[in-house]
Amino acid sequence: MAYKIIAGFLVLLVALAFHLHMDMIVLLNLSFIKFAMNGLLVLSLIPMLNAGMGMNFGLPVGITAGLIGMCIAVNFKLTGLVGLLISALLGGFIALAFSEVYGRILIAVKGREEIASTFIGFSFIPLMNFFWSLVPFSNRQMLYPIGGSGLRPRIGLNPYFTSTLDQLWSIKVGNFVLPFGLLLVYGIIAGLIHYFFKTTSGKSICAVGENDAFAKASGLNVKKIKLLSVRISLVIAAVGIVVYAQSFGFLELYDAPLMMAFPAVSALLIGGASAKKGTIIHAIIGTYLFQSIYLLSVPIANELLLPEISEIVRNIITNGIILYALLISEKGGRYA
Amino acid sequence: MLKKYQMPLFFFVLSIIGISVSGLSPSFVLNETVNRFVRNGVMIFALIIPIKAGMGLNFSVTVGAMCAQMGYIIAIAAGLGGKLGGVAALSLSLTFAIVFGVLIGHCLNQVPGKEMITTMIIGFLANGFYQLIFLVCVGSIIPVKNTEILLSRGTGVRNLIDLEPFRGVLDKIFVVTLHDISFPMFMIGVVLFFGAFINYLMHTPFGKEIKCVGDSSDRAYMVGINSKKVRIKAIVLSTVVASLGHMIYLQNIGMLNVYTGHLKHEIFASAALMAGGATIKDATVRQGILGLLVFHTLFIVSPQAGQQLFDNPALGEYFRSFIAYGTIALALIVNLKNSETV
Amino acid sequence: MNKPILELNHVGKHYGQHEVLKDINFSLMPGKILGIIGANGSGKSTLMNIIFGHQVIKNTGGYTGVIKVDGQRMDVNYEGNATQYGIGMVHQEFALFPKLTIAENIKLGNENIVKDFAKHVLKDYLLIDHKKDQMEAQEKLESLGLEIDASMLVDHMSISVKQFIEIARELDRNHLKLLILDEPTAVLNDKDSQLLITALKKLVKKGISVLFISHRLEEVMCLCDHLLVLRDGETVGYYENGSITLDQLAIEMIGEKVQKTVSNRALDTKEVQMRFENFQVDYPGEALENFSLEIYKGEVLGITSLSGHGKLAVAKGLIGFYPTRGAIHMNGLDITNLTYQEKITKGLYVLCEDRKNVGLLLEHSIGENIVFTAQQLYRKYSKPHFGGLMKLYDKASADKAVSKYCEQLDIVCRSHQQVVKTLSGGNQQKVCLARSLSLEPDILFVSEPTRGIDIAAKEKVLQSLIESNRKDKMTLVIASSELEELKRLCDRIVVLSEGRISAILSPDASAKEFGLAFSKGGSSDGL
Repeated sequence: MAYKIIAGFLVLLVALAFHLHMDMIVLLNLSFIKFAMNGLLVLSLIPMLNAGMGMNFGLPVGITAGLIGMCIAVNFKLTGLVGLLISALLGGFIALAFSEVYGRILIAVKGREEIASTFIGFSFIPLMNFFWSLVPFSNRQMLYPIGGSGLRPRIGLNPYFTSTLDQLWSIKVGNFVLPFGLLLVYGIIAGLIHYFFKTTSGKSICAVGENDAFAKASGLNVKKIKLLSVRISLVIAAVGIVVYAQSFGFLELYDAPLMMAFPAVSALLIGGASAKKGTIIHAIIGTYLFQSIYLLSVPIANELLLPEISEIVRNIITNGIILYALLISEKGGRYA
Repeated sequence: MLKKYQMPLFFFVLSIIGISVSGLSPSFVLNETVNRFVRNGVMIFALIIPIKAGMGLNFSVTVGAMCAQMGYIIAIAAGLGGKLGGVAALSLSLTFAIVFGVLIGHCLNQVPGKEMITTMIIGFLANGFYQLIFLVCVGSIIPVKNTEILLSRGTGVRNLIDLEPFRGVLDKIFVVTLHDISFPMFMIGVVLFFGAFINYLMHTPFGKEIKCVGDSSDRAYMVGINSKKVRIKAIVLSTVVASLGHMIYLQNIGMLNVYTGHLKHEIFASAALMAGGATIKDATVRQGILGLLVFHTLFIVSPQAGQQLFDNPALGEYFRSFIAYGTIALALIVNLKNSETV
Repeated sequence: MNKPILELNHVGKHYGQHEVLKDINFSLMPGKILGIIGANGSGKSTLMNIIFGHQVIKNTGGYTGVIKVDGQRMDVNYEGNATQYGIGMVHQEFALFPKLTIAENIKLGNENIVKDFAKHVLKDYLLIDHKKDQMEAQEKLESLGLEIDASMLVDHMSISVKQFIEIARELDRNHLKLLILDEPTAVLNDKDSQLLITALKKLVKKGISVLFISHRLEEVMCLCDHLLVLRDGETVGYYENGSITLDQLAIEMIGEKVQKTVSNRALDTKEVQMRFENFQVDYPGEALENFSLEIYKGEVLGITSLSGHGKLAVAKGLIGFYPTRGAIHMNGLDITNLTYQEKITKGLYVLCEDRKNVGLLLEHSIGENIVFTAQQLYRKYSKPHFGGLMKLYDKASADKAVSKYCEQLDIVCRSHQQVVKTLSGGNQQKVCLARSLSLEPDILFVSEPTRGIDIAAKEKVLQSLIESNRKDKMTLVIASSELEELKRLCDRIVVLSEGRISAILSPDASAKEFGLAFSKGGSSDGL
């Protein structure tokens, strides 16, 4: 439903872009990069959503794990694919550690996971800010130039692994460049998630999400299964931010991840996911539509001499879609 | 008894430690606390009614704040000042607050059990539309008489609007100074009046209905209460009180940050209320007042304390944010635990 | 005084195709008490909901026929409930607010205001006169014979006091003409019931009429002026009190149908397979206490009771949905503290009555629903991937099993991929049953196996259950409100009343024996 409106809006933007004589090939190139760059963060929402824990508005928790992983890799000046791989691995392990606590809290607040995860995410950010300010890393390029202690809010990744994946095995056809390596990584992870939901463990997650009384009446350990889904979600989020950062070229710390959950949630909803169930296809369609709109709206807004409008429109779409999904999903409830 | 005052006591101890570490003079802290009490006081009372009605923390009080800002901006844009401008701003913001309150109330009736996350998203979404109107539409689609408030490009309102005609008008009434601490008695009275008003409401048939709906809307139906209507009224009231609270806040500050002035008030008010010992299921006016005092004292001293302790004022800022979000997160977790909704 | 307070003419109610109430006619004079008696599914609660104007009725298409209150015809689609017609209802599940005081509860919606300033406009926003409210509430309570301080919170009150508070609240509405009491004494002990009955008799003297619904026949006989017996949605009798005996009433309620018992047989050996000792389940509204029972290997055991009297609690307690106490032994093992998963692997399975919420994954296919539990717990119908690290759905073996069960149970569907929520109730129930059978349990607990399904499906379900019992030697425990079915299938029938075993009867026992066992009062301790 929602994706039709959004797709219509995208067509309108494409038409506008043509009208304004923009370089469509460049935009197409970018659209693939933007898609894969944000795609994993969107995918990471799926396991928890399917386990009936709602949209993971606490995405910053997983993201933070990935950021720590990257910081360690950068501190040891690891570059290229090795740097990326180590970042992702470390990030994944830290995410596992976080999920033990995060998951247990969410299990305890059953039925209200969304508001609880939102505020866990929100309060986790300032807590991590202490960490960023006090952690004794030694790589000068990561630290505040003055004083020499505390990490910078924005660490350039140029000397390490900026665009490593974007350029890996990229295929050039004329002006058009297909970031094959990047898409491959996205594809593999998406494929793995898809495969996982075919296995018995994956199916148990879906059963818990659809009806946890049924799961219990089938002898399943509901808590264990929910914890598993939180672990998977957080690990993918950690890997996701690594992929994001290498495309973006910067490691953004401090308050940067604060609001990152909302566009991701919105993208998944645009793709057709409900507030209870999402699939890889939803994530792919949603991410592409959402990111393309944002991508197109920036130059168009600049042409119109109202540069702020793209950010505002993104904000309205993000929250409008989430609100819409909330209102629709609860129809037929007690007050209907 | 101890359990009841656990949270405020904890905050009080933290504040005391903060004051002693920061090296700020007690009179400075006290002055600031009084100032913040009258500035932020009314907003906190906007949260109590929805909590009593079982809807949890109403994060869409930001919409009320936006209504207040719209009132001021329109009054200034129309070139009105003084008493006329004040009345215009007030009546405009009240009208907006009622209209939006009804809208939000209808939305929330669709999402029983998920009111809090919904109010939060509504706040974000409203902020988007607000920005769209004032940054893009004003000056281009909506004509303005007083072009001074526009950006130089002719479209969009400036980031900062001077509220000269309204600055401190209420604060200056009946100020009593004891030693070097000044008490704006009139404003303290206003804040207390709002608290008393909420208290009064809870002792009317309407307040009783609110309590019943908050307890169980099914049982409320059985005894003939229309829960939907009561919930809408609760949200309208909350939005109206929030907009009044923000009007007071703005006249105290004297400057209007058009695009950021309304943000985060919902967080600070909620956190202060929770710090006073309230929960997301029950809150009283007394807890609100207590929370205001302890929470804002901590807020005043923490940057300076961070500076003194770690030679880094930013750490104090982080501590502030952490306290604000963390208090709400803690209240949510503690309250939602063991309350299976199925 | 000759005009009836309440008059029902040809009142009926359909839920979809299903007719739950047919042509109910009666009238109730002022100051009289009418007792309504009926077993499960007799339509008593539907009738109450219609009279009180419950949402459920309006949301499902209203009712047919005419109801007149005090000669005035009731509007079918009015807003809110029947309080505006002068009808008050005391709900079984208490419409009280525990965080308010007794007085506040009693005066709810009828508060005194301190000052009458602009009363009509601002009424809801004026200060409540707590003192006056308190006084009036106290008076109301005293008029019911209850000595209690009205300023206390309802939260701490006993169940019987809550009952009185609710009656006092209804009384407080000045124009109360009719009071409906839904199973008021089910939660009271004998002494409090007496108190209640005295209070009601006092009320009636003031000209208020009472509709009294109860399963306790003795009380109904002692209190009511008239008796209306419902069975299967129809009136089977309307009696003056005194014109019928208790035994006759019991028979009327159950219905004397001649029913062939298919399984009247003596078990070869009475080997105990499962034993409950003082089993207790804290299932709100359906609690079970002091449940001690031995279940023999290979038998078919029925458990029945009126709704809310505990027959569904055994199964729910075994799964672990509600806290339990007491001990359970099965096949010589103490399984009291095992998780439900472990109980399943030891040979137990429970099929709950709540198909849609507990029994099925409505969004999944028939095939997935049938094999789900076996796949999860026994890794059946799955093939290992990555050297056993992952188990994948094995379509071939699953399909084979699903086909077998679909055939065996006659599951009518387009394909095994059809989503379960699109199936009829009967086929859904068969899917549930197929899943249970695919686990090959030694002992199967089934709750309400035939509820809400058509006749053909009913027969098939029952037949399959019996077949598994006979052929595979599966012990079967059926909890059901359908006494006729239990009589046909079971070797023994346990009757519960108020959460305790009131009798263990042979399926050949008479309607009177069953009727009396159902309506046994709370003071007995079971057998």
